[in-house]
Amino acid sequence: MIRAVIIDDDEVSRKVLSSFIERTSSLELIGDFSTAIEALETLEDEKIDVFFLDVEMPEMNGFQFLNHFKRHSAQVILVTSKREYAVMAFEYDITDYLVKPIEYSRFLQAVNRVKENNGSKISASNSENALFVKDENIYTKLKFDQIKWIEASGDYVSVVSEDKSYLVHTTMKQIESHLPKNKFLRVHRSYIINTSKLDNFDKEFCVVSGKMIPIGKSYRKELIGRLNVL
Amino acid sequence: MRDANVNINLSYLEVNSGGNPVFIKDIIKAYLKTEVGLIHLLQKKITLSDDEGVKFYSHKLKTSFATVGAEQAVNFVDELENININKIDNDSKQKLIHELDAMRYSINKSLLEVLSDLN
Repeated sequence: MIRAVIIDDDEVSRKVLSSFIERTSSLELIGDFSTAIEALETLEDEKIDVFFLDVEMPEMNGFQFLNHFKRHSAQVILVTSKREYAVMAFEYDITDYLVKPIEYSRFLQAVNRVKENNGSKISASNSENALFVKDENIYTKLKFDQIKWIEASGDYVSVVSEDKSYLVHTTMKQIESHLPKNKFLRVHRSYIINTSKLDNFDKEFCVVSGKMIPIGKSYRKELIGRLNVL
Repeated sequence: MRDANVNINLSYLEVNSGGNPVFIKDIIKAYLKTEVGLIHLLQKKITLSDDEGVKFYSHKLKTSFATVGAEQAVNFVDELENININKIDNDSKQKLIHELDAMRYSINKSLLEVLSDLN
């Protein structure tokens, strides 16, 4: 069961969402808040799997809430009527983005994304959200969040992290299978990127932590789908 | 002056009700309970020439109007969200406030009829 919380100052929107949650057997509504402050005060020790979070709220908006709340593994689905927030949403590692008034079919798609991410989170947590890479005969632990991108280099792949690059004797396919699908994305036959490090992109290139990386034609569609581009 | 008679298009509520009329009733009741307050706040912001406030509450109302299918009202608050209230004279502000009242009355009347039909 996915434990869900709604934070939205608009009662009509909360009612729509709570009805959708009630109708969806995999979801359980554990809290329904009209202000982000109330949610912050109440939810500190609760186990939450997903937030349905409004952006535009008085006193504390949705992004401010995310800055304050230590959400651990909880995923976030932004619920708003301003499409402009899609770009900002990406900076906050948002699972999905729903535009009001929300269609139930689109709501279910977002819930499916949460389920998919939950699946990959379990496999990632088994290895403590990290990879061990061999560096001068020592296996060094590299947290997924430290990795910026991975680049093919002949019979090797280069794992580029915040402070150094590691050359590993493996294939792109093999390393891809060790990475959580909710954090990493193949954008080219020679590149896998950490999506949280993505700055911007166009049809042919993306910029990850300042580095320009080509986007393969066959990978473009998935990139756009994953980023929920509007 | 816009036509104050707002037609209600229930297609969003019907499509997303999953065939359950209780959903439609619940959403309409939630609308009737809360939107009067929001409209009053918007009117107050217009009177005070609070541009940010006008934008904020117009935006909030747009979603609620869209949910209950009050299409003319969606267009109206969409215009309000994009005007600079500081550049509007007092007579025009009063006109906007009256138009909001008339729309509110018309929407509520239509929604109460829908509720009565569903009961």
